[in-house]
Amino acid sequence: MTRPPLLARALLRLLLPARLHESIAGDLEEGWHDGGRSGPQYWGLALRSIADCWRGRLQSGTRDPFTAVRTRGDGAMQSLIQDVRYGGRMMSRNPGFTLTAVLTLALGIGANSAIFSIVNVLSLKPLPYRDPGRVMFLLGTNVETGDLRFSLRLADYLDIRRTARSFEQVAAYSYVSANITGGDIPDRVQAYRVTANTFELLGVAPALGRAFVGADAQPGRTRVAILSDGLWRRRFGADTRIVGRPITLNGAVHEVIGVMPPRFEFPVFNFKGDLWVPWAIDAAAAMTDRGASGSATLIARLGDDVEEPQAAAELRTIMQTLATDHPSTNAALGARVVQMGRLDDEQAGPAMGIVMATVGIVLLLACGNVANLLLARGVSRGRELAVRAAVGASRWRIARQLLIESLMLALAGAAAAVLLATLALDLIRSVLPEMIVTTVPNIAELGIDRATLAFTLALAGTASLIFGLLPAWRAARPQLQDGLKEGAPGGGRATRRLRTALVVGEVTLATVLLVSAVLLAQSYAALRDVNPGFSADRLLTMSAALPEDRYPTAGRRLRFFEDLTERIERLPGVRSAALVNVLPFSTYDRFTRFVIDGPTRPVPGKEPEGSLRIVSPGYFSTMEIPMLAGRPFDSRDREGAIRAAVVNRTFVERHLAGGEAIGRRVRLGTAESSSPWISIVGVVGDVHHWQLTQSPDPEIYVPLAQGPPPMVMLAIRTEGRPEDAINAVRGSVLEIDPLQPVFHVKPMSQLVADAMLPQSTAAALMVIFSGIALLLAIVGVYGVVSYGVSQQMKEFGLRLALGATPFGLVTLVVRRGAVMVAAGVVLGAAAALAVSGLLANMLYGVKPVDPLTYFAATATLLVLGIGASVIPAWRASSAEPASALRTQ
Amino acid sequence: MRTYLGEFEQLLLFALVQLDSNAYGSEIRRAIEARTGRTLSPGAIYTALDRLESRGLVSSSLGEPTARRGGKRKRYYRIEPAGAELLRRSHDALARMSRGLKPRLENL
Repeated sequence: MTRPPLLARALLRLLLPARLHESIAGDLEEGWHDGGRSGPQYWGLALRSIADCWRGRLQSGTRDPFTAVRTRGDGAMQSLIQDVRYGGRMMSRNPGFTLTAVLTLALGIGANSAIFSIVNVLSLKPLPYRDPGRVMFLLGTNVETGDLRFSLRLADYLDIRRTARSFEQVAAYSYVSANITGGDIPDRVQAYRVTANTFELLGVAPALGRAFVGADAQPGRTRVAILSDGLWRRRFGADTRIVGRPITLNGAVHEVIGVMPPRFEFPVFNFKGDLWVPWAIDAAAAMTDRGASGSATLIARLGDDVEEPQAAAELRTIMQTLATDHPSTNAALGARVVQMGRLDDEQAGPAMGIVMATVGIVLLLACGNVANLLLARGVSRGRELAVRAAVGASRWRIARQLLIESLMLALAGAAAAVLLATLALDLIRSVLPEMIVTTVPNIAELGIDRATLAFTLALAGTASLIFGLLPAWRAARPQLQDGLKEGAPGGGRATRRLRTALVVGEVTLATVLLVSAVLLAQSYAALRDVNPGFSADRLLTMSAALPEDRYPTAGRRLRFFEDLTERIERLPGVRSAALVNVLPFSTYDRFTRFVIDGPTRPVPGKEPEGSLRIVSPGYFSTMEIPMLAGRPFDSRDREGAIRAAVVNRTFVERHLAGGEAIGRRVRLGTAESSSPWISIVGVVGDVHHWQLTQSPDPEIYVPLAQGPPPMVMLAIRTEGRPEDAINAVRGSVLEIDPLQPVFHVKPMSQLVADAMLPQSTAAALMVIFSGIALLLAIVGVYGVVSYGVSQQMKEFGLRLALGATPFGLVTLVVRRGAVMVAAGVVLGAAAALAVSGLLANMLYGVKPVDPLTYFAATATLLVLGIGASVIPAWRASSAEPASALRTQ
Repeated sequence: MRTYLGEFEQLLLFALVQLDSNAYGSEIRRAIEARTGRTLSPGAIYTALDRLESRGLVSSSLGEPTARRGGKRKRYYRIEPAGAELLRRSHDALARMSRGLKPRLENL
C-alpha cells in the first residue's frame, strides 16, 4: 500500500505532541487515500495541523517553563513540551536571529545532504538486483603489470563456468552494435548479447513476458530479444501487447519475448542496455581457437556459504592452470573477483572523501557561526536566565532548555536544507552529461530519498550538539549576582575569548578550503591548456555501424565510407571529413599486440601492445595531427597494394629506440600469428586518447581501405559551429542508405570536456563550497567585531569625550578584527600545507605547495576579513560622547 | 475553569451528538465541513477535543489500527453528561438571544 510523503510524516511525528500524533496522522493518511493521494494536499493539511496544534496549545495559558520549579509527578514529557513551547516563543520573538541561524544551518546541512545523496547513489545504493552484494564481476588482469582489462575471452568463460565451484552461476555478455529499423527513422540502440542464464543470475524477472531460456540461444530457433523499460516506452509507446511482436534488428527479424522492469539496469559501468539478445556460443569453435574466440565480460553470483576471498583464490588457481595449458593465449592472464557495485570505488574513493570532508567543514563553519550567535544572545539573555536560576530552576533545566532551542533551530535548518538540496540536485540532474546518465548505475534516482532524509536528521541532531553545547554550558553557569545587577556589561572576558577563538577557527578552516579550491581550479585551467595532439575546434563527430546483413563484404563497406566522405566534403560549411575506427575521447579504444621485424623477437604471450587506429586518407589533415616524418595515407594505400602503417612519436621512442622509423616493418597480432608484415611509411605526433593527464600510448595507424571495419567514427571539420552541420550530414547518410542511423553526434569539444569531467567537477564543487565557507567565515568575523562594538558603545563615547579621534577608534576596532583574521589565516595556511598532500594525485600542472596559491588565498581572506571589520568600526567612531557622560 | 463554550467547541459537540458511536476525527471533520462550508485541519479538531476532554466534557477511547491509517488507531470521542449540559445551556442561550430576530437580521 502506498504511503503519504515520508518527509511530511516525519515532520508530523516530530512536531505533534505524542498524544495527538497517532490520531491526527491516522486521519490524514485516511484522508490521503480518500482524496486521490495528492501530495501537495497532504502537505497542506499536515502543516495546517501542526500549526493549529501549536496555536491551540500556546493559547491554553501555559506556565513559564523556568518558573515552574521542578515539576515532580508532572512527567518528563510535560516539561519537555513546556521547553519546546518556550523555545518556539523565543524563536518567534527574535525573527532576525532565528532567520540568520536557520539560513546558516540550511547552507551547512544542505551541502552535506546533497553530497550524501550523490555518494549514496554512486556507492552506497545497492544495484537493482537480488542480493546484489553477491553479484561479482570476474575481470581479466595482466598478472605482470597488474592492469585491469575488463574482458576475458569466451573460451575462458567456458572453462571457468565448467570448473569453478565457488559460484552459483557464471554468465557472460558482450556489446553488439544494433540498429533498429522499421519506424520513421532508423535508430541506434545499446544492445548486449547475454548468456541465457544472465537474468536468472541477477535475480530479476521481466515485467512483461519471459526471460531467456537455454533453447533461445540455439541456432535455427526464432531470434528473440528482451527490451528495457526505457526503449519500450521510447520507441514502442509502452505498448503492453508488445510481447510476441517482431522487430527488425540489424536487418533481421527478432521476436520480442519480454520487457524488463523500470529500475532494471544492466550492464553497469558500461552503456546501460536498451535491449538484450541471447548469445549463441559455438563452444567447440571457441575451444579450438581460444585466441579468436572473442571477448566477453564475465559476471557471477557467489554460491551459498562462499565468500569473496575463497572465490578469488579458486579463480586464481583456474587462471594459473589455463596459463600453463594454453601459454600462447593465457600466459600473463589472470582474473579478479570484484563485487559489481564496488567497481568504481577505487577510483572515486579519494575524490569523494575530499568532497565529503569539504562539506563537513562547511557545516562546522555554519555551526561556528550559530554558536557565536547563541553565545552573543546568551549574554543578552543573561539577566533572564539569572532570574530563572534565582527562583529555583536547576542548572540542568536551563541547559536543557537551551539545548532544545538549539535542536529546534537545527531541525528548522534541516527542513530548509532539504529544500535547498532538492533544488541543487534537480539542477545537477538537469546538467548531467549524457556520458554519466547512460553509464552510472542508479543515477536516475538521484534525489532526496529515505536514506538522505535520515542522514539529514541525524546531521541536524549532531549539529545542534556542536553549536548548542558550548553556549548552553556557559549560559547555565550560575552568574546570579552579575546577571541581576542592573546595567552590568554582559559577557565575561571568558565568553569573549571563546567567541574570538571560534572565529579564528573558522578563518583557519576557510583558509584550508580556499587554498584547496584555488589549487584545483588552477589544475583544471592547466589541464585545459594541454594540447591534445589535434585540434578540437569546430570538429563534429559521430558514429555509424554498418550491419552485416546489408554490408557483408569489405568492398561494400568501403564503397559506403568513400561515398559518405565525398558527399559530406561537398556540403557547404564543411572543410573536410575523415573516418577512423575510434576517435580520441570517444571512450572507445582498440588495442593490438604487435611484433617489430628485427633481430630479437618477443617471447610468445609477451608481445608489446599498442592502440590500433584504422583511418581514411584525410584523417591526419582533418584532425590536424602533425606529420613528423614520411607521408600520410593516400589513394595508393588500397587493398592489394603494399600494406602501410603510420606510427606516433611514442611508438618510435618506446619501440624503435627513437631511431629511424620509415621503412621498418611491424606485424599485428602475436609472435605466432601469420598476419602480413606492414611497412611504416610515416610518423605523426602523439594524440591523447583517454585523458589529457595521461601520457599517450604507442599508436599504429593503418589505412581504412586495407580493412574497413563495420563501425566507424566520423570527424568533420566545419567552417562555423559544428552543431550547424549536423542535419546536413545526417541527410547525406540517409541519401546513401535510408536505413542507416548515425549516433553519438557531438562536437569534439564536448567529448574533451566530458573526459575532464572529474577534474572540472572537483574544481567546481571546491569553488562553490569554499565560497560558502569564505562567506560564513567573513560573516563570523563581522558578527564578533560588530557585537564587541555594540557592547562597547558607551566606552567609545567616553573615549571620544576624553579626546580620542574617530579615526583612532576605527583603527582600534579594525586592528581587533585584523588580528583575529591574521591568526586564522596563518593557522589555516599551516594546516593547508599539512593536508594539501591529499590533493596531490588530483592535481595537474600545479604543486600542492604552490606559493602563489597560498598567497592569493590568504590575501583574499585577510582583505575580506578586514573589510568586514570596517563597518562596525565606522559605527564605533560615531559613538555619542554625550550619551556616555549622561549615563555614567 | 471556563463555564462557556466557544463556537467551534459547540460545533464539535454537536457533531459528537450527531455521529453517536462513529465519532472520530475524519467523520467529525467531514460532518462540520459539510454543514458549515469551513475547511478544518485534523490538528485543529484534536487540539480542541483534547482540551474539552481535559475539562471533562468529552471522553475518548482507542479503536483498532488499520492499514488505511498507516497502522494507526482511531480515537473515538463521546460527549459526557457535563458536556451535554454545557452544550444545552450554550445553545439555549444563543436560541433565546436570537429568537424572532432572524427576519430583522436579513433586512439589515
